[in-house]
Amino acid sequence: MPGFTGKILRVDLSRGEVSAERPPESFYRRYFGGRALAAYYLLREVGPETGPLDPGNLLILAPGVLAGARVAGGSRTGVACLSPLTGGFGSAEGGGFWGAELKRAGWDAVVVTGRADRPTWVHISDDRVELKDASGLRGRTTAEVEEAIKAELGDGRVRVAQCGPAAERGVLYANVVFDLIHFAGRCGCGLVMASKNLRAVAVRGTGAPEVADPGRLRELARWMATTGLEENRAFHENGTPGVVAPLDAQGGLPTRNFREGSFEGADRIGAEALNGTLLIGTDTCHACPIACKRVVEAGSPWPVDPTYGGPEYETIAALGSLCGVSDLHAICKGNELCAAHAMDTISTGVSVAFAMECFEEGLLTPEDTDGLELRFGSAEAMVAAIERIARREGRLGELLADGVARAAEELGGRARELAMHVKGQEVPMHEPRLKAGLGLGYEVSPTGADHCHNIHDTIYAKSVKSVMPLGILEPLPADDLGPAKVRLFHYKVSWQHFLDSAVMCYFTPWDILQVVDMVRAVTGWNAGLWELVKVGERAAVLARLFNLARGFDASQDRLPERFFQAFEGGPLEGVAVDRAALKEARRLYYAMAGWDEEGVPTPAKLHELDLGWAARD
Amino acid sequence: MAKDVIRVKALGLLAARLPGGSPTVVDCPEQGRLTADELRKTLGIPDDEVFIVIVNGRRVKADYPLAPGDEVTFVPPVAGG
Repeated sequence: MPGFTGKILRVDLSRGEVSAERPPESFYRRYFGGRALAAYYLLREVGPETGPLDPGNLLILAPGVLAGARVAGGSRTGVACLSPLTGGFGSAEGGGFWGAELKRAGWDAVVVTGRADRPTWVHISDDRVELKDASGLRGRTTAEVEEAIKAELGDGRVRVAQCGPAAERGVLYANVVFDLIHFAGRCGCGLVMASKNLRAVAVRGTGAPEVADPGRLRELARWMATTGLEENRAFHENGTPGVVAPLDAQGGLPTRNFREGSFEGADRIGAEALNGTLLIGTDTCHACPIACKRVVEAGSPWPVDPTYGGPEYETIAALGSLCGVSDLHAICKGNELCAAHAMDTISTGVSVAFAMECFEEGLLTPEDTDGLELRFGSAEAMVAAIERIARREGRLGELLADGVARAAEELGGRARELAMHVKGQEVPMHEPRLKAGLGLGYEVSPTGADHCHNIHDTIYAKSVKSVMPLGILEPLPADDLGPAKVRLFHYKVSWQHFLDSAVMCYFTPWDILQVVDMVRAVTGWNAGLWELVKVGERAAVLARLFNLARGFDASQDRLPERFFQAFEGGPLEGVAVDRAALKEARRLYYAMAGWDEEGVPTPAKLHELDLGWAARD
Repeated sequence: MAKDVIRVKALGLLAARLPGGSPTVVDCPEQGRLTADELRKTLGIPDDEVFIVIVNGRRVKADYPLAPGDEVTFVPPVAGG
């Protein structure tokens, strides 16, 4: 079957057994891979009685239809589980080479259940799958574990997915990392992996994924290597840190725990500051000529190991402006610590910024912090707090390792107003006071506040060329939340959920129709844009059903209060999220999506998406 | 800075649009003869790639008249991640 191997690897760690599932082609055409495939398994197999850290939870590693094909951006891997951070649908994606290698080994996905009775890692070598002893790997950094696995196998080219020591210590936003520098960052998937006594899944494949139309795929790859690269050379040179300066100028650079939207130190933490100082190179993912990944190195007072790559925009803002920190060296150190321990830099930064504001407001005392002066702007405090979180060290480490929602509940009172999260997931580095539709996305996302399966309204303020194939024909102001914006949101977010099911990069400059073309070339299917958007919508609805079954309801589709308060200065002075407009947009979105007023997909909608099996009645 | 020129910055991916990169300096005619939008056109920056224009630290409209000595920043829309 071109595009898929037709085999899904099941690993039962409680029984120590592995097996192969062979779904029919129609399964793959409905659920593709990544998020949609994972949502299918989670909804069917993880019932409401199962807790996130119970053996019955699943950990799913699922690349997509293009993984292993020689086209840029198609070899990312989706990681999914019942999230310990949100208590609901957990899903995150990471790049690198692991997904392509899994496909070459002959597998479309790995679905892990149970809990091993001792620390374990899984070795996949084509058809051969072995459970190996990981006792010696406990507590070791991700780089040490990757090196140990490669040494044990005598194979420097094996690809390693792993959780880290932060997961082994119970950090709720511990993540899963591929090849040391590519993170499936969000939702705490790493903690679920560790709860199964599973430290790593190492894979090596010798096959070649079947492609229906290699000629067409080569044409597309040639376009990316020439025109695509030429038009995006600045992205290669600056990577995602290139957005620090524009967001700051627009008033959308989250600063001091979202109290402000521009940062006086922005010019010291962006791409322009990184290039020519700490930046020593770039890195890339499978078959991608853009090479946007940063590699940094630094010495005293905070040695930074280039083995762990370098910071993305999200990390720079979360550990930088959000904490009031303009010391790029310290930000790179914080990034390295998060990487070595494998924990999400967004949730880490938001947790530290929350603690800084609590400290300044007197809600946390020096006694709580073991004397650490946690003030906005202190690079030393930011780095020290990360070290404590990673080790769950002292009262501060214990408090922040559980994320801001739980920390605020423990502190009580006004601390709740300072906790920037939706459904327990810390808010990423994008401002709904600049991008109104993004705020709706934060509210209704099945994984809590998320900037990926979301829209960035400013993109559509002048041009909608990129979304015209979806039928969006006129530009819309960034602060608009009217029916036309909700329609754009519904269509584009469904497409984003498809991209997370094909597990494609958002940054490779493919347009929507080129992606459709790629899927057709790889699979040989007569698929069209409409069918693929429906796959995305299917993923979103399955995830919604999973959350509803666990007790979520419309009351959790809410932004933190701070976003309804106006900025007191900066480019967006006086601007707040319009509460009434957002409420109406949410109501309209439910209706457009075929959900009832309580946010429950109607039986008719389930049948329309070919999900009749998931209807309760 | 010389008083008969305008200093121009283009942020993010727009920097590549400026000949010689960002920042750069362009000659400015006397006050009122060149608007922010005319400067954009002169520099060959497509309108749909500019989200906002900032002059001397303040956001301005497209028809804002530029004066010698002004500092103009073209800001693109960005997603980021």
